[in-house]
Amino acid sequence: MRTLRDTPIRKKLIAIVVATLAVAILLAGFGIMILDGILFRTRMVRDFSALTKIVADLNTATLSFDDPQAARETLMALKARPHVVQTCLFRTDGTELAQYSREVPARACSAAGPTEEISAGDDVTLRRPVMLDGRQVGTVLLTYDRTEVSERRLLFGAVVLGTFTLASLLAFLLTAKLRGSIELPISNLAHTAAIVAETRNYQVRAEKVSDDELGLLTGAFNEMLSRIQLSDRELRRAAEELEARVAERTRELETELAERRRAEEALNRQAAELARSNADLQQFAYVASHDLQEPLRMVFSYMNLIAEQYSGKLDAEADEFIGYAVDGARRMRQLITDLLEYSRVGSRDQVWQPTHCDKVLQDVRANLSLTLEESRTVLTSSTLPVILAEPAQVTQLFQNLIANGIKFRGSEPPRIHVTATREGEWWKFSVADNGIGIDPAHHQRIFIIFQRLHDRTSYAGTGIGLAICNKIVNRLGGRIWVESEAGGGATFYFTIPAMNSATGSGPGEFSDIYGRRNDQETE
Amino acid sequence: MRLSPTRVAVLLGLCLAAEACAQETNAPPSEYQVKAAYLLNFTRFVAWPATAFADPDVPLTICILGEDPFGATLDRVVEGETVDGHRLAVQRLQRTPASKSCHVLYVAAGEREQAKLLRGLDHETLTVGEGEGFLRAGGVLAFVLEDRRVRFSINLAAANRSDVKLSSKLLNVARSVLK
Repeated sequence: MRTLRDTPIRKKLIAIVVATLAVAILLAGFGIMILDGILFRTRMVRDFSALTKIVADLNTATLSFDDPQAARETLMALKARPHVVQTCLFRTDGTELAQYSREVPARACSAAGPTEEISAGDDVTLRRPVMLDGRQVGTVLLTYDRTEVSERRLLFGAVVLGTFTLASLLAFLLTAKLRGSIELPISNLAHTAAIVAETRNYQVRAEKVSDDELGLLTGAFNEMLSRIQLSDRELRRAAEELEARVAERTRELETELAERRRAEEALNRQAAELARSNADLQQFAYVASHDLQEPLRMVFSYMNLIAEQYSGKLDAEADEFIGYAVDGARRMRQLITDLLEYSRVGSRDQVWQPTHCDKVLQDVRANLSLTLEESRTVLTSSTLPVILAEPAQVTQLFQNLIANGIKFRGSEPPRIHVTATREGEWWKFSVADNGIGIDPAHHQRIFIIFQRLHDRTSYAGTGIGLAICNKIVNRLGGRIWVESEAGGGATFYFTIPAMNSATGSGPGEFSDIYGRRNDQETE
Repeated sequence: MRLSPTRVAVLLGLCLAAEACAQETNAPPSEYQVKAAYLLNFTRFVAWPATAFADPDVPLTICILGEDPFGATLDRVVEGETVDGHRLAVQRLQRTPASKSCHVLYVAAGEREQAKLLRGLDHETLTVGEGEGFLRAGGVLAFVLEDRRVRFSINLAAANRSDVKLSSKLLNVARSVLK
């Protein structure tokens, strides 16, 4: 079922008019009806009381002279009053003198009773004494029906209904024009709104019919449409611009991306080649040095046997040649050992962990105790930090540098001092000696493998120690360099990235962070 | 003469109203008892001119000319009654009354030369007699018997000539009216 809310405005207006009319007319009608009912009843009581009095008055003589015939004739006149049901005249002793009744058979009537009673069928019976000169000469009884009230009510109802119908019809015709002035602009608006909603065409405008609130509404609606149209246009333009810009940028990005991909591929290719060649190289160095050890040991062993068993048995020249061969073999063995060691740096997956450099220095002191004692070296250090590295390699780093300082000592007993200072994200370590120093022209060369500054008769060694140091520092992400003047001692510096936390942190914590365990140390 | 039960009832009512015939309630009312009551009732439907009474204290006098057929009945009927504020009095006469002495004159049936008698009366007297002959003689009201019931007739011409005005109600109840 359709509720009033969903019905068109035209029907609503009609409904409002009709409802208003109905309420007004029905209220007025029923108000008048009720008032009339009250007034009419009062008037009716008065009327019939008066009529009863007249009947009584007319019959004083008939009662006085006991004339039933004349009395009856008098009463017959009441025929003219259709609502009189019955009239009876009684003598003073209560016997009936005359009677008139509308109905056949007549109702029984009696002189005794109240002056006014309402009997069945809504009839009212009035009793009045008939007085003559202050004396009662009889009693009159008059019964009337009150159908007149309901007849009147019916008539009133019909009039109210008729008035309502007529008024509705007239109102309908009269308001037709008025309805048009309200309904037309609204349906125009609704129609326009529907078109706009359906087609998204913001160029449509609602027709303005009047200058009242509906006209204002229409104007406001049209204004709104203009604004929407404007912003829609701008929005479209912005969207198109954005689209164009995005397309352009996409093209650029695609180009860029393609270039980058190409570059990356090239890089990856190079890196892979490099890694492969590096691995090949390391493998080659390791295999070469490792596999060379066996035949070399053979040569060295048998050369030593020859030197021991045939010493003095051959001529002096043979002894000297044998000595050269033994020495060559020894040096070759040392070279191969060093080379193996060098190739091992970074050849395996090594485990980095927080490493206490103070502890490392203690180990180095233990490892080199004999050398330190023989050379009467004074090794001192400041407080050293904890760094993230492989402890064995750090040990080797310090050991190589300190051994280097001892090896290239001058005439005085060597003094070596190790320090570390924080520089931003880095720890800068230094190992200073009072040795022979290095000519600045060679400061780069010394870190290259097998580069020696001195002949092997002055200083022993294969020229591989500093190369190993360089490799270790590089692997830790730092760099190594030397500051020195010939004859003025040398100071080696290297940098190691600092750990994020302070130096005071214990190693245990870091093993947790990196998921590595101390017992996974290599060699 | 026999009276119908209705008649008795009327008399009873009249007696009760008059409070004068308590002793007679058991006996059936006689013709003259009824007539006596009617005489009183006539006074109630009749209007005398103001000149008929010298002052309010003057009683309304009912005169009986000739042989009195009522006896004590009439006296008992009118006793204590008032009409228009006037007491009632009964006078019995043997000859024509003096002017203005009678308000109602009952002429007994035995009187002769009724016409002459009536002509000599003043115009302020209501004349009541017996039989239609009384009316023809110029009387205003006359008792008649009809079906053994006491009724009365009116001579309207005589009434018009008189200064005494009869109520239309009286005319309505009258048996016949001479014009």
